[in-house]
Amino acid sequence: MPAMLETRDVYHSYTLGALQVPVLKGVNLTLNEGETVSLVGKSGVGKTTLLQILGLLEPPTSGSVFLRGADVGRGSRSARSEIRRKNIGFVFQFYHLIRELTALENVLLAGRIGEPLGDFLRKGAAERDRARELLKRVGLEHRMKHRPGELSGGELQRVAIARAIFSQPALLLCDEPTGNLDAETGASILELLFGIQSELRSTLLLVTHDPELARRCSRMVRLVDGRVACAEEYRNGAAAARV
Amino acid sequence: MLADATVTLIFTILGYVLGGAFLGLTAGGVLYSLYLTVRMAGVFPLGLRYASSRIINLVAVVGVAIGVAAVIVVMSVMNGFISEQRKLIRGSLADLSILPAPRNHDTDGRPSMPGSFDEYKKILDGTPHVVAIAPRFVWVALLFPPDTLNKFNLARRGSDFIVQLIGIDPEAEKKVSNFNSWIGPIKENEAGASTEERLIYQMVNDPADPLAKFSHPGSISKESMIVGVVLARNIKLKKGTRVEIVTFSPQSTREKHDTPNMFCDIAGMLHTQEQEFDSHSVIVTIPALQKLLSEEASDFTEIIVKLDDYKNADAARIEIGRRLKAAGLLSARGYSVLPTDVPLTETDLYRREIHTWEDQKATFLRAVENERGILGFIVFVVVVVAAFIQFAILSMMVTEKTRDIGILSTLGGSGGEILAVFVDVGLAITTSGAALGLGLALVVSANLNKIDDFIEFATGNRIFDPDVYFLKSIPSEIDWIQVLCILGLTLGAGVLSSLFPAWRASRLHPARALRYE
Ligand SMILES: Nc1ncnc2c1ncn2[C@@H]1O[C@H](COP(=O)(O)OP(=O)(O)O)[C@@H](O)[C@H]1O
Ligand SMILES: [Mg+2]
Repeated sequence: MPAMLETRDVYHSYTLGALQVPVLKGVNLTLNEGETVSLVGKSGVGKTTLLQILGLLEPPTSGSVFLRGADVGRGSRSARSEIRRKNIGFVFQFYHLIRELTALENVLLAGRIGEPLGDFLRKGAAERDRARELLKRVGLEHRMKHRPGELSGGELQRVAIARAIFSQPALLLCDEPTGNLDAETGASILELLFGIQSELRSTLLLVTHDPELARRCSRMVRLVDGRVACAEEYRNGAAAARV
Repeated sequence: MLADATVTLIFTILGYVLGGAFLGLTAGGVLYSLYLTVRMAGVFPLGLRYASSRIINLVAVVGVAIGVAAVIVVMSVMNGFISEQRKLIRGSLADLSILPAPRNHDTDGRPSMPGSFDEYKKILDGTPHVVAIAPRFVWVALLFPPDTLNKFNLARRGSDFIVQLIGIDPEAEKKVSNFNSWIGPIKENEAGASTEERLIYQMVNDPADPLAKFSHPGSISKESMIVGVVLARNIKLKKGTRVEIVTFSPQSTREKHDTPNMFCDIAGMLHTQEQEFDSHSVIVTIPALQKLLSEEASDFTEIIVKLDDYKNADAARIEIGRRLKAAGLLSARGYSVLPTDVPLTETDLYRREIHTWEDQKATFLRAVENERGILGFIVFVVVVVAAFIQFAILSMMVTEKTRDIGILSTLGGSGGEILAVFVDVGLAITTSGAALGLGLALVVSANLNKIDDFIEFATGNRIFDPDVYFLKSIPSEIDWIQVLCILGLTLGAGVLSSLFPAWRASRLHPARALRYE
């Protein structure tokens, strides 16, 4: 069985005027089905960049991304979007909710993207129910009609999580999901994330600065100078072995 | 004048070229947008929310509404004016007029009509589309009211005294023209009727027999005549006045001019609302006119025709022309308005002798239609301005929503969904603006006169001064096809102007958009 996600020699550089700024310099990384992996590294090392490449938001400058064995990293934009819609959920440090929409509508939006009129009419009600269910699942049944401006950081992240799992994605990419929250709230968000991960059995990639947090994952990947420097494996939150 | 015509022509051509290109683009844009909206229906609520949650969008909606309303109201008033003008221009004219070319009388060389009215009637009565016909004997004469014995005065205002002497058959006439209402009372709100005219106006004694002789105390009764109400005002005629008519007879030759005269009593006045007709017409009976002119060979000079529907005018002209020509009652020497090497059509053959009312007023009607053309150009400008506003607003919005565009991408949105969201915003703004504008326009055009009254009350000035336009109230006529065109154009302009910003949004790099602060 092929890995959930695999990168081969991923290079990425940003163009600043005439200047090429290399960020990723040959990343080889494998995420297996159902695995929880943390991605750590210094700020500015390219974690977010890698996450965006893994999430097919941006094709790498060179190298390949395989999703369940299929080379998808540099497909057409709409092909990548389609894969993303069906397989990938994102959670960001700054929540990235749409401020004009209520919590419920933000979650619902994940189901509405790419939906033609027929489906919209047919599935609309069911999708709304599902969005309610998900908000209940993340503990926000009393906040459905609230807009982002009326919610706390922790609540915002819960909405974002509910939105990310709307399509039951096989892959959850989280970019410092607790980076903007106090320790207590952050802990509860993590509780939620790991709980959901085990329900869905999806692969979880968690970008973080927090070594404690990294240890809760089954594996840690460190990014140094544009490459995967080392990968450590943990089991049940305790360091177990080095690869 | 030439310069005016050239400018009009340039505007017209420019209008057509721009209009054509615009229509093509618009139709394409609208269809594509509707397709996007249906295909990406899921993001429609988001577009709606975007559209409704920004004040500036509401401003745009109001802007579009005001633009649309203004255009519809102006167009409707224009329509009202044009149809009032058409009525005024048409005035007393019948659907068709038949004016057979006179023939030179075989024996003595005098001109006469090719046949008697009865001969024409026999043919016309069975002709399709013809509902009624009436003979008219139209001549020209000079009036001598009693107080214009001073001939210097008369000469100074000569054109007031030169009249068209129209011999009619009252019974037949009533069935073709509006003769009955022309000799009826002037209505309070009738266009063109000043108070003064209503005061001097006097109806005939017996509308059933309007030209009956009536007794004149102390003298013998003369023939009766009905004069136009403006003519009466101009040369100060009253009901009962005895007027001398001087004319020349058809038998006049170069060697000897025969200038018969007769005295007539004014039986009443007539008002058609056509200035020209009301100021220069005198109606008598055909026999009275024949007697005055010692004319026996001809009992009419033209025949007026009422059709079942004016739409059939061209068909009726051809049918009438054929039949009269076959009977030798029409010369059918055609003429074409086009260069001579273009073959004559059948219509061309009869055009000279059978006129539709529009033929007779072609120049006026063209002028009126030109007004419409220029108005079309104004509409175009308004629509373009509205489109620009929308373009600016949506462009700003795309920049403002850059991060949201990134979010939509993370949720699996590709170019199509993002395009759709902003096109939806544009559609929402334009359709609600257009709907609001339509409502506003309906309310305003139904209450134009009240609004004008209110403005007069508030400011002391009238926007619309009825005396200037010969109208008692502001005319307004909503033409739904026109309204649909205006709405369609607005929709098209709105869509076109939102497509480009939307396209720009869809081209944004999702990863970079996500980092946008
Ligand atoms: N759009 C961009 N253009 C140019 N440089 C960029 C762009 N986005 C990120 N970078 C640079 O790439 C490097 C990696 O950024 P990022 O992936 O956000 O790092 P991390 O998430 O690990 O902090 C940084 O030095 C950043 O300045
Ligand atoms: Mg980062």
